[in-house]
Amino acid sequence: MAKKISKYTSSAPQIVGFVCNWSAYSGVEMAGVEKIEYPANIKLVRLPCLGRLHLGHILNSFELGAGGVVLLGCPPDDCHYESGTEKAKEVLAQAKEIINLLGIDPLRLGFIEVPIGRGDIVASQLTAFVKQIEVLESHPKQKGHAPVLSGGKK
Amino acid sequence: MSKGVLVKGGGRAGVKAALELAERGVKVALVAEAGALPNGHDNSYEALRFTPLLLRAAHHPNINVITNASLERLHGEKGDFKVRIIQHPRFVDAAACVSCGKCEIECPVNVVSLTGSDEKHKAIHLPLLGLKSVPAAYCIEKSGVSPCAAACPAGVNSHGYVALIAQGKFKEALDLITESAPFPRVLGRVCNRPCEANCTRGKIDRAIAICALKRFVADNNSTEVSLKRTHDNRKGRVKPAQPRVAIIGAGPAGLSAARDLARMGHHCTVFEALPMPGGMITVGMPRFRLPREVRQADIEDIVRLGIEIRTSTPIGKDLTMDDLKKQGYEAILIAVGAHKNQKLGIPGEGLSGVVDGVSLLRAVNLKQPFTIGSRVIAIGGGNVAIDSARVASRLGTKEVSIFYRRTRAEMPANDEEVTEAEQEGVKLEFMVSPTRIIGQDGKVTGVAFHRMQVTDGESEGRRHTVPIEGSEFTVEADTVIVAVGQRPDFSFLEGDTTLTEGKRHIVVDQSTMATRVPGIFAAGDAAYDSGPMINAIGMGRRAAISIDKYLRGEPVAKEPVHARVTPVEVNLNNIYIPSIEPQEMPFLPMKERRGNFEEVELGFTPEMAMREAQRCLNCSGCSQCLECVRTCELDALDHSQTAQRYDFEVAAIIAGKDTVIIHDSELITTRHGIHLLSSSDADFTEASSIAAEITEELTKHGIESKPLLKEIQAPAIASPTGKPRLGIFVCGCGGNISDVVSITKVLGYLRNLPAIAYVSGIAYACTDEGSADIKYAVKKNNLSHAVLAACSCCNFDQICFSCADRRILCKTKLMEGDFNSTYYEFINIREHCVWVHRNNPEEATAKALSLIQAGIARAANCHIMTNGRAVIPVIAETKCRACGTCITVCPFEAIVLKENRNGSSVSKIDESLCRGCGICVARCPSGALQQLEFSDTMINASLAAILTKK
Repeated sequence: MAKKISKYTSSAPQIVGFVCNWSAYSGVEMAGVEKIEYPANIKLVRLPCLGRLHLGHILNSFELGAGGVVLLGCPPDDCHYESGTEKAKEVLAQAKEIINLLGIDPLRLGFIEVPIGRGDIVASQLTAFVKQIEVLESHPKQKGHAPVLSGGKK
Repeated sequence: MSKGVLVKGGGRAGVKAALELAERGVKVALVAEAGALPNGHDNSYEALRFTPLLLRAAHHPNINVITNASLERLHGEKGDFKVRIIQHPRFVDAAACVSCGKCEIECPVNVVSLTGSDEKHKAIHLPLLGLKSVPAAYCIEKSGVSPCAAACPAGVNSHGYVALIAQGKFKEALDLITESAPFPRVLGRVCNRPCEANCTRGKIDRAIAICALKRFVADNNSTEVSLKRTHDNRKGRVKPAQPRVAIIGAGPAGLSAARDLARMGHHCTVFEALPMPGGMITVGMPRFRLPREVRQADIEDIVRLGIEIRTSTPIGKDLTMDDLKKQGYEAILIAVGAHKNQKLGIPGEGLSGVVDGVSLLRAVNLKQPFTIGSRVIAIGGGNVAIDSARVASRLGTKEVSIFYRRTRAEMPANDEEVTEAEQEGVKLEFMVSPTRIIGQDGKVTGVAFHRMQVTDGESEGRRHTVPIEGSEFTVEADTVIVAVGQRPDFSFLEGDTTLTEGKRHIVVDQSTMATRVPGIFAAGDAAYDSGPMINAIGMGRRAAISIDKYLRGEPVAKEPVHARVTPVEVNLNNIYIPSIEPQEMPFLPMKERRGNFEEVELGFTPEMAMREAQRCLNCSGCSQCLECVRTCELDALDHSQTAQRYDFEVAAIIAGKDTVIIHDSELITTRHGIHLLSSSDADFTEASSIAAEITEELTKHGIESKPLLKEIQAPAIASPTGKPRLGIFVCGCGGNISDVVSITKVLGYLRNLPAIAYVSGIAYACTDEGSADIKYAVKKNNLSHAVLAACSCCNFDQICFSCADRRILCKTKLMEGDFNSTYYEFINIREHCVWVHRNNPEEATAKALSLIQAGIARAANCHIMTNGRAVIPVIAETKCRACGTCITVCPFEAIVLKENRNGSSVSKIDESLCRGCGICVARCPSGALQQLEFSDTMINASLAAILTKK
């Protein structure tokens, strides 16, 4: 595991994760407490609820050069605010359509459902997501996707 | 009527009840049996759901949480109960411990075998939920002293060093041994091992080879550092130039006393009659059991402490005890040992060819001339008899036999020694007693014996034997070794019986080793008849304590010092403990033994030692090896903690249904004023209604309480004037962070950033000192914004599933007081970075830096002091188009349309209903809604910081 991770040097694609403050965040915490490793090129941004996520935040991430964006949310029936996950999934669907139009592979946008405290799920799914981005990066057409929104300020 | 309420047990429901009472203004004592608040044992992930509840309870000013405690006494009636709570020691200062976990890494004991449950944890551990424990302080599972350690007359912590050896901590194990008793190399070979006789593992298969383990660490590690360290322990005492203590005899007892006295700062002189120090270990043990270099090394360790030993200086004619007193010795310890051979008391003992065992061994060891025949008979059953016979067999005699008057099982000699002697060809005859030694021309030719039989009755604790009539027989021999015991030689007392009171040894108080003459002490065989070496060491150490007291003018109290402690009781009936194959001691092959004095037992290899030590059952839990004490940087450990008792007067009691309540020594289930919670889990309705009932009752009696209301504080506070001044603090978490992330690199990088006013590292941000340092720096540097990279992750007073006790403490300490003048941004670089990338320090450092920069970006974009209360959105009325989207999406119906002063419709948020999810903010089409803490500006600023390539 450690060896594989060390492959991701700073030249690796930067990946943004938006995390809901409740179950998903407790999963992220538990991954730490249980010391389960995952790639270091994922950086998390905490939100009070995934429902707080705006389509613009996702697009902004890509525009700023993110290689991938992943949403970590709670199981829909365990949302602390009842409809947060549901709302986030609507945003996710919209965003996928838009980035596809902009020439960014929708596979670069992911969603991970984290039941309370499940650090193992956080770590394994994040690792899988990074691998997926890595595969996309290795594809010649995909390499260094050009952000098409506003010319990109890389 | 007393005001408080006692909540005892009841699991989560109990905590809920306590919290509801506290929020209504009632004082609550919340008592938990475990070392942390109960959080159920079901699913540790699900248990996280209740963390906020526990944390709120633990930090509520009206709740006094007492963990590790039980109800000791209960009197009185409803409205006026008197309770006494007993809090069992946790051996860790809960306020000082930051749960950094270093002690847990060092702790050698895995508590599993005797607890009966499948749970496995270190003896020092975080109870229940690990890092999510409330309170987040370590506790030690220790039920007393293990049987092996309790059995040691010299107070050596055998459990402790076995536990350390099991983990491969060999040097630490030796340090632990030498902190109490000297002679680790010698004892590791010749001890009679009371520890092994009491080992619980011995009841299952075979006792741990504790003695052989001691030998292993003593042979393979240096003793130097440890002795120096313990020597330095006693500071502030000046060693007087003039020695004040005279010790007669440089044997185990005398040298042990001298060593302890030297460590206490007393100078002593040891007078030894023989040309070499060591007493019986030098002259009474053959080299194949105890090589010369081995005892030499042990003695040198003691001499190195600055003890003067005068060899070939017998006390007696030329130098009397009175002379010593005249020379200025204020205290005298008699430790002359037992070197005088006991006679058989039968005819023929004066014949040439009859030698005594002690003299033979002494002659061999001191290389004095002696003769030995070809047919040797040794009489006796102790180690001296066996050793003499084995010496003879090595000197090329034709035949060596041992004659003993009882059975083999009753032999006082070590069993292994007897077996080894047999393997070397020594013959053994049991139940035979000599009647006379036969001789011709003054020389021995044989011994006459008769056979013995057992009769009823006992003598000296052993079965009584009598000769069988007509069973006499003769055995030919040219050398007879008599070894039926030794006694002290008190000829130097010149017949004065003040000290011996007519007995065979000097009469002392066994707890203080003081004789009836003040200033004169005795230890070892001189004070006990003849006994094992470890007893002599124990006596020497007790004598040292008493002599120290005597010299300082304190009364030498007759209290048990190093007295046998009561061992923990281990009940093996209900636990299955699998048998584990013991390690066999490697021996010198038989053919290599004859004609030399090479050591027979070869000692364990490191792997064997660890495997053998791992058989330990850890009877008492904690082994008291004190590794935790040495590791803890915060001095939070206290192994001497004892139970604390608290008295409370309470109006009512809430208890879990399984709680045993004894009222006035009577077991009760119900009583007025005692409320039992039937469910201990997630069903809180009962807990709430009981809390409500009690509050009502209290109100009726005029006790003030306030209505249960969610306190809502207004968001938005004054905005700071001028440009923000930013400061950054990076916590090392006592190595938890700094061992992976290079704090120096991080600080260096941050110092070079523009617009940063102050950068500093901090050892532990959550301690009193840590938070005081931060607050001081904030004030001194006039910082408006502070970023703390540690384990905490927000500055809200909202507590979520992932929060922890220490974080709340950290936040409270930092944010109490001048709340409004500094904005704190917390960043978790421990769980979110260090612990998940710990095998990749470089990337972890880079990521930590990037997370800190995101924090800086967020802080710099927060222009309003929002500490702790800014998740409720604010509405920019000029931007609101009253489209109603927010009203549709709000899950809590917290938003309505209202007319403002200008008569136009705008959205209005009911702060008592809003829970701060921010869905409305995300959906507002005109950007009129914004959360101050999670504003779009802040989110985008952190994105930019994260995605900037460095």
